[in-house]
Amino acid sequence: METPTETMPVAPMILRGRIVTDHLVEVGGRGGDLVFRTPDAHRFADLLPLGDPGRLADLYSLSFEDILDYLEALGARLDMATNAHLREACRLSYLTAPTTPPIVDASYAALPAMFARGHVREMAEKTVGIRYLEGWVEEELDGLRLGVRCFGARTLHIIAGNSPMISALTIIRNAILRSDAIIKTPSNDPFTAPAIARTMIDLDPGHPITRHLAVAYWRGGDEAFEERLYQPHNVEKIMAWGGYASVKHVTRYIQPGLELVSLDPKRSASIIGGAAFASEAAMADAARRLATDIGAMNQVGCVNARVVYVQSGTDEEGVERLKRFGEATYRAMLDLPEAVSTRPKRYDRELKGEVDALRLSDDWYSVIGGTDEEGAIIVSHMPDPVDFATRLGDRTANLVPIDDIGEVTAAVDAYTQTVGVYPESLKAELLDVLPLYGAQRFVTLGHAVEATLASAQDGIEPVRRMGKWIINEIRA
Amino acid sequence: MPDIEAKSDPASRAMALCDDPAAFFGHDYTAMMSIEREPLEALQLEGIRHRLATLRGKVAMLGKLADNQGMDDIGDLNAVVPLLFEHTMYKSYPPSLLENGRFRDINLFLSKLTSIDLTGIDVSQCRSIDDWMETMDRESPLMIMHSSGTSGTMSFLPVSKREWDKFGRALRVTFLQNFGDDPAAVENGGEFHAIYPYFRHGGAGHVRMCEIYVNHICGSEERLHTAYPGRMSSDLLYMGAKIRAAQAKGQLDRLKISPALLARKAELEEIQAAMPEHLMAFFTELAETLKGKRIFFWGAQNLLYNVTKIGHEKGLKHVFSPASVIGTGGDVKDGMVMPDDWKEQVCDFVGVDRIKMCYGMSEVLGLHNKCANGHYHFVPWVVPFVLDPDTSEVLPREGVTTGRAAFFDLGAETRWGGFITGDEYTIHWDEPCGCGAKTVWAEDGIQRLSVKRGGDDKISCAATEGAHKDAMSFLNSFE
Repeated sequence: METPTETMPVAPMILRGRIVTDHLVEVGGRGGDLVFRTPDAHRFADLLPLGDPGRLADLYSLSFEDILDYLEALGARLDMATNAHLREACRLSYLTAPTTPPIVDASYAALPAMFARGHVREMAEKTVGIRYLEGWVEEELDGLRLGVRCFGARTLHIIAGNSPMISALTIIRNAILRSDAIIKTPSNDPFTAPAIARTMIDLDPGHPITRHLAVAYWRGGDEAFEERLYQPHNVEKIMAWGGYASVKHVTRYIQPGLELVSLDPKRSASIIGGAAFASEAAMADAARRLATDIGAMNQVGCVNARVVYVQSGTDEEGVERLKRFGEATYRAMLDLPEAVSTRPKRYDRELKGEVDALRLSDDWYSVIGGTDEEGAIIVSHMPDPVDFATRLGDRTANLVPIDDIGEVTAAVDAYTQTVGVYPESLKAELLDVLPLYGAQRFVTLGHAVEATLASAQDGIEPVRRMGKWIINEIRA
Repeated sequence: MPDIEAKSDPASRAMALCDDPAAFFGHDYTAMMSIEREPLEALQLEGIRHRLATLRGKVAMLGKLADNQGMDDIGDLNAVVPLLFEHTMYKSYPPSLLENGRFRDINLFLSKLTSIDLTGIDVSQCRSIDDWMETMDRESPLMIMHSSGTSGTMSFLPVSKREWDKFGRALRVTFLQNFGDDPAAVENGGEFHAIYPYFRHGGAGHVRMCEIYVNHICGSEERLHTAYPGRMSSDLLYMGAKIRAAQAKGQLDRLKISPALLARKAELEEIQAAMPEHLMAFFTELAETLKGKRIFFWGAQNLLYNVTKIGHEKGLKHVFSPASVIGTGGDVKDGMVMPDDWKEQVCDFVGVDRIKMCYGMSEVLGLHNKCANGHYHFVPWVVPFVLDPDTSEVLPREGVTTGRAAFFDLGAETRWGGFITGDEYTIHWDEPCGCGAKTVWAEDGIQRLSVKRGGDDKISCAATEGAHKDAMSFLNSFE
């Protein structure tokens, strides 16, 4: 259905304290969900970048405590009960997000806690080191006194749209680094970042942190526009999240003087040891944990479980065991609270075709659920993941039986992010081996989506890389 | 005299349409496309009901699906949609069966997709896909077609030789005649030489077409001209597809090469090394021996264009008889870039004034010609459906509808003819076409639903050449 232009939602552009809502153009939401209007980025191409890097100096008049004060005050204002910008963004996000309203609500409700003083301090300390942000840290080396300081940089952030928390995290990281950010919003979340930025303007329009944030939407891959903006005299770093197409696309602009920090598209896997079958209680526990890792955020994240290797045994008895485990996982997934997981917004048709075909191929696979597009558990009868493993989503996972834990290196490759393990003791066998094949993060099964923000991410240290590490060599 | 005028009962007439559509319409393309929609749909409904009644007890996958859906019969055409097979059905076996050469298990899998019993065929000695395909060709009534396996797994389509021959008879009509032609006139332009700039034998659907060219177009093996002798190795194709899949997953380092394939490395390399020479010899044969002759070509746009390019480089124009027939798939496959004026270039080289554009796929044995108004008219034995791209619900058979393409192939007698594709099209159900053909038509611009998502596995020939080259270069790294 077509929306009349005048009632079509607007994603404002934010230009360093200024809210822009003119020169609107219509842009399509991903998957044809929503058409919205936003200022034509082409008209503002010269205003988006900071220009003179010397203008970062105002951030250096702030102490780290000042930054914490600002972020704490901002967090307090990101309250759905009182913040009209956020309420509006949340309502519109129902239409653009890959998840459903209860999950969007829960993510928005979680925003203020991200800005809590203690949380931000911990994040800054662990991901950079506050003293490097606050001044020169000097140490004695052999014949050399070395000063090191982490400076901010003019950075373009191409963010992902699977969670509104990515906008908030980007704004927090930008502030603690004393950087200047241009956030390029995705069409599946064009409203969250502008809403937080408007809250910042309400909070203190002249504050340096407010004045070092620009937010805009343009169609990713708009070469004429991007070639103009993605230049070393405009930005020093590009931080790109997810989506193979978006990351691959950005690489064409990388040149000396313009660095890419890439949070590549990833997948996650789970490994469940034979201990899960030690008792009914253990099986129920493992099933509940696995259901959470599959179902949380409706499996739109890279952290979610997709292919699950289970040491059930591969003989007939083992496969029967795995089917029972699959049934328990499926039931536990349906029982997840709706703030965590719901029926998917729109089940991927291609995936449905694959799942429906396997349902009839019951010599080789058992498909549990999925007839109602609620999600499904596919149990392989052979130690073989489905050939469409990379397409698993919308609460659809593949359980693969194995005899020996040594076989699980197959679960891990260059695209692996999180590996959820059960029981915890099984990790000892995996921790030093799987990283060689690509694993980047181990979690206790059931906690895949609870990523700490105070540590490395995707096997790199993105926050350190977002800063410029300047050294001062002092020789006698 | 076309059978459409016959006064037999509807069930017998529907069977006649299913059993031999070419004969049903008196081998007359104009008659074929002139049947009115209402009587045609009555025949189609009767035909589907008959197929369902006969096959549900013989094709296990269909039986299961019908049981799951609780369906015994259908009251109208759209009612069959819940029973159509997803395009992924023909590859819904564990990938390791093929990887480990478990052909007995693959036959078990296929036995559930065809009414033909394959369990008596001994495939225990088959070491490779090529071995197995040759054994099945020899010992079963099937001519199995495989996909290019772009996902890393091959689809296997169990088409019977009898069905393929029936398709060939129909193609003689739809390939060679245009709407309004006198069927006799086509026979007056002289015999055809079919050309195919690829392998003579192989398990891919487009290579299997060579059988049809010999039996139904040019009439003899001598008048079929292919670029490469022998067989396109299915193993090599599979290997190429697996390499791509492994690359996409970052698992190239853990790719297993079958010992059977490694053992044939020298032989395969020799074939590849000789390919340019064969292609040039093929071209010389075309330009010299076939000069002025009436040729027939049907195949992928890139194959057609490659030959044209060689011709242009040699400064050749209007090489063949103007009564030649050149046809190709209607829409550009993913990743293929053709120059804007490729059709003009081809016409200029061959010496014809048009290229016949068709839409079709190996799983549904009917090629639908594009008419002078740019519309694809569906042949009467293929029933089209449009499914909502989001919900997969079938859309009404009226007005103009856009969505996922699905078909029922009435000609399928040993496998289930219902098939859901990965294509999206727009059908005009009741708007007459200016060309005069009466069957419903689809707009030009049919596209893959998942153009941007990738990874699907339509049976197509566009990937085979690239996959072949990739595989050789990979094998070469195993010195």
